[in-house]
Amino acid sequence: MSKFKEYSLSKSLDSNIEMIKKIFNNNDDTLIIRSFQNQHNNSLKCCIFFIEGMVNNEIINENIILPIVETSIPSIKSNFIEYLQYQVIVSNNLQKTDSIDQLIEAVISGNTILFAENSLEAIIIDTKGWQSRAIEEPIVERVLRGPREGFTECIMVNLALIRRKLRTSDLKFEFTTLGERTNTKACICYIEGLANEKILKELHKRLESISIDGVLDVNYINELVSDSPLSPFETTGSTERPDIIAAKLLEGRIALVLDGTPVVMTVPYLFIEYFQSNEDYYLNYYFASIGRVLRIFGFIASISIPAVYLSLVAFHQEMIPTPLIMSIYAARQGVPFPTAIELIVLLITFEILREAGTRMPSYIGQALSIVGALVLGSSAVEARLVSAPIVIVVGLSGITGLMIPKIKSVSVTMRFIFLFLSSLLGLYGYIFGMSALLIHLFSIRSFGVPYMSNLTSLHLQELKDTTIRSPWWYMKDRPGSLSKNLRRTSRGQRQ
Amino acid sequence: MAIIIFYSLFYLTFIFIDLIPIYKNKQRKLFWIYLIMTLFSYTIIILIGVGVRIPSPALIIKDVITSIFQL
Amino acid sequence: MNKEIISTRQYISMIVMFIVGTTFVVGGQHKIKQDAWIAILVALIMSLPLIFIYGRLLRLFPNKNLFDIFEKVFGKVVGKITILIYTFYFFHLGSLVIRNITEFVQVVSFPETPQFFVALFLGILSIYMVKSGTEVLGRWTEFFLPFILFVLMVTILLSGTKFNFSNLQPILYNGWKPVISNAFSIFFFPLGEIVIFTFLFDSLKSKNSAFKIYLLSLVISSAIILIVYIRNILVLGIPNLSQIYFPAYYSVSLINIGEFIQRIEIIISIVFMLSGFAKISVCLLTTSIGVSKLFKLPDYKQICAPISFLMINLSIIIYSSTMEMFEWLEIYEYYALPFQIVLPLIALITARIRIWSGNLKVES
Repeated sequence: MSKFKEYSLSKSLDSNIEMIKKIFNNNDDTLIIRSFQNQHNNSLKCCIFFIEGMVNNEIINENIILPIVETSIPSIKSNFIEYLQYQVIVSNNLQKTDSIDQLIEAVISGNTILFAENSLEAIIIDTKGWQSRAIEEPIVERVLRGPREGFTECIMVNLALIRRKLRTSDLKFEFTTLGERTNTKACICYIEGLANEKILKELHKRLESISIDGVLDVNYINELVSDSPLSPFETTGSTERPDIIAAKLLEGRIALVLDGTPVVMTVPYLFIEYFQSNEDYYLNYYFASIGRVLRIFGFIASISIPAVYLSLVAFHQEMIPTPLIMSIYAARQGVPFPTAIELIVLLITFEILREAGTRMPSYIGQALSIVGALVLGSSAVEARLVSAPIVIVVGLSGITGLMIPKIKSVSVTMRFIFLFLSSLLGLYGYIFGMSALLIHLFSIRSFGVPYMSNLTSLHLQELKDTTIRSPWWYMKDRPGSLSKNLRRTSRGQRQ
Repeated sequence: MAIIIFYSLFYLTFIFIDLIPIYKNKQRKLFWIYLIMTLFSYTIIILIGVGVRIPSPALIIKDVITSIFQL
Repeated sequence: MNKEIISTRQYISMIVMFIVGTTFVVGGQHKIKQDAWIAILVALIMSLPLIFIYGRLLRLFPNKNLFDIFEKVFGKVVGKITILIYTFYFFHLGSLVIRNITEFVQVVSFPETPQFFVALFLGILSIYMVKSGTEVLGRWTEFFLPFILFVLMVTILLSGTKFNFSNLQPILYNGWKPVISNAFSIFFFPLGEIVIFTFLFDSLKSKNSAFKIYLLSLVISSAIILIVYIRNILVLGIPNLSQIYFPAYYSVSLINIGEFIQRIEIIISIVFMLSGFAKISVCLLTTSIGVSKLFKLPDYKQICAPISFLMINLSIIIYSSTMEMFEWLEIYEYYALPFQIVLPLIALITARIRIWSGNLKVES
C-alpha cells in the first residue's frame, strides 16, 4: 500500500531533493542531506540522505562519499546508477529501487539513500549503526552456573546469538513485519524436521490476522494470538536467554523474535514449563529434581496455605492436634477481627509491600521491605490487631509465591479466590476451587496442544522431564505431543 | 429468603453467560427451550423459598413400585 | 461439534470414580451383616452377563452410543421414547447424587448450612465441567483417581490398629439367603449403574472390546468397595454397623495415631465429595446428550445449564429428611431393573431379530 502515491521520482536531482524534504517536514534536523559531485566529471552529481544517530558515519564517509568523489568515472549517460552500484560504492549490502515507499522505509531504518542526476532509480545502502546495549545477563533470569548471554534489543544480534548455538542448516528463519505504525520486524525460527508443521501453519495464520497499531513487546502479540485469551495462564513462553531458546527449539518448539525487545516468545507452551528452569540441566540431576519438586510444591503451597489455614481454624478445628490448636487460640485472644478478615488484610498488605519494593530504587527498596515486614508485622501483632500465626501464614504464602516469577500473576489471583471460597464452605470450598482450577487447566490448549500434556500420562518417557529431571542418558525421546521426530539421543549412551 | 437471593444471582449469571449469546446467534428453538426450563426452575425456587411444600416425585414412585411388587 | 476423544484409561477412571462415587455414602451397608464381602463377590459375578449384553450391543453398532443404537433398533418413535425414559433416569440419578452429597455434608460437617448452598456449588462446578466437554471430564478423573485411591488406602492402613478380626466371624451364620439378597442390592447399586457409560462409548478412541473395558473397571471398583467394606466391618463391628448412617466416615473418624493424627475424617469426606462430583458430572453429561438428541440440538453443551438448575431443584424437594433418603435404597433395585437390564436386553434381542430378518443394516 503506497503512502506516497502523489510523489514520484524524477530525473532531476533537485526535484527529488525537494520531494524528500517535503516528506520529512522541512525542520527535521535529524535528516541530513549531502550533495556532492565527482572530481573528474562535473556532470555526475549525487545526493545522499540519512538520519543522524542511526547511521555509521565511517561507512558513509569512506565507502560512499569517498569512492564516488574520487574515482575517475567515464562519462556514461545511461546506467549511471548501475555503474555506481556495481563498481564504485564499497558496501556489502545495497540494492537499487524506484519505489518511494522502500526508500523512505530504508532511511527510517538507518540506511542511506542515494540519488543521482538524470536517473529514475535510487540506491539504498546499508549503513546501520546505532548505540545499543551490550550483551549481558538478563536481570530476572540469572543462573548459578551456565552461559551468561542475554538477548538485546536488536533483532539481527539476537538471531546471530541463536544461530551460533544451533549451527545447522535445518534452523530456518522466516521474516515478517508486524504493527501498522511501528512496522516492527519479527522473525519466526524453527528447526525443520523437528517442529510440528501444523503448529507452524497455525502461527502464520494467526500472525497474519493481527491488525494492530504498534507492537512494542512480545506480550502484544501474545495476547492477540493466544488460544484462551480469558485464562490467567499463559499459553506462550517468553525468555531473554539464547540457551533457553536453543533448548526449546531442539525440543520442537517455535520461537518468535521481535525487533526492539530482548524478550523472545516460544510456542507451544505447556503448564509444566513454568516449573522447568534451564539451570536444571546445568546442575546435577538429583539437585535439579529436588529443585523442581520444590517449585511445584511451592506453587501449590502459595495458593493454598491461606485457604487451608482458614478452613482448618475456622471450620474444621478437630483436625488440628490439640496442643497446636490451643496455642493458635491463645495467640488469637483479644483480636477483634475474624480470621478471614485478618488474612485478607494482611495478604493485601503483603502485595502492596512487594509492589512498592519493586518500583523503588534498589537501596530504598531493601530498607522498605525490611521496615515494612518487621515493623508493621510485629507492631500489628503487639497491638493485637492481627494474631502471630496469621503473619507466619501470609509470609510463607508470599515467599513461596515469589519462587517462580512467571507464575506470580496466577498465584496472587488464585490465592484470593481460594481464600474467598474457603471462607464460605471451609475445606469443601477449597476443594471446589481446586477442582475448578483443574477443570480450567485441563480444558485450555496452547496452539492445539493440550496444556497439561505431560502430566497425566504414565509413559515413562513422557514423565522423565516433568517432576524430576532425569539424567541425559535416560532422556531418549522428545515429548511426543510437540514433534514427530522422537529420537533425541541414541541408545546405550550410558556405557 | 436466602435461597431466592443466591439462586437469583446464580440464574442471572448464567442467563448472562449463556442466553444472551444464544439470542444473538438466532438459535430460536434452543433459546425457547432454555428460557422455559430456566423459568420453570426459578418458579420452583421461589415456591421453596416462600415455604410451599412441593410433593416429592420419589414418594409417588415409591408407592407405585411397592404396589407393583407387593412388598 | 467436534468429536471428543478419550483414551481407554480415562474411560476406565471415569467408570471407577463413578461407581465408587456415592457407594460409601449411601451404599446399603446398614443392611449387610458380616458377610458383605461375599455379597460383593457374588454381585460381581452376577454383573458379568449384564456387561456381556452391553458389550454385545455396542459391538453390533461400532462407534455409536446407546442413544443412537436405541433409535436404530426401535425405530424413530419408540427409540425417542426410550431415549426420553433414560434421560429421566439419568436426571433423577443426578438429583439423587446431589442430594446424597449435600445431605452428607450437612449431617457430618455443617449442620447449620442450608443444603441448597452446597447444591449451588455442586451445580456451578458440574456446569463448568460439562461445558468443558467429555475430554476434560476424562482427564480430570484420570488425574484425581490416583489421589482418591491413595487417600482411601492410607486411611485403611492408618486404621489398622483398630482392626478386630473376630468381627468377620462367624462366616455365613445366617446362610446364603441374606447374602444373595444383599448381592442383588449391590448389583443394582452401584455396579449396575455402569449402564450410563454405554451412552458415552462413542467417545472412546480405540476399538477395544466394551466387555473387557467394563469388566476391568468393574473388577477394580469391586476391589475398592470390597476393601473398604471389610475395613468398616473390622473396625466398627456388626451391631454398630447397622445403626450408623455413614460407616466409612465413622471408621475413619476413629483413627488415632499417637494423639497427633486424629479426627482426620474431613479428608475422607473430601474424597466422597470429589467422587460424588464426578458422578454428578457424568449424569449431567448424559442427560444433556439425551436432551440434545431429543430436541435435535446441535450441541449438548449449551443446554447443560438449565438441566443442572432443574437437577438442583429436584434434589431439594425430593426428600424431606435423611431417613427418607435411606429408605429409597430399599426399592431402588426394583426401580433400576428396567433401565439396567430389561431395556438393553430387549434392544439386543430386537436387534438380533431384525438383523436376522434382514430388516436392519449394520456396518461390520
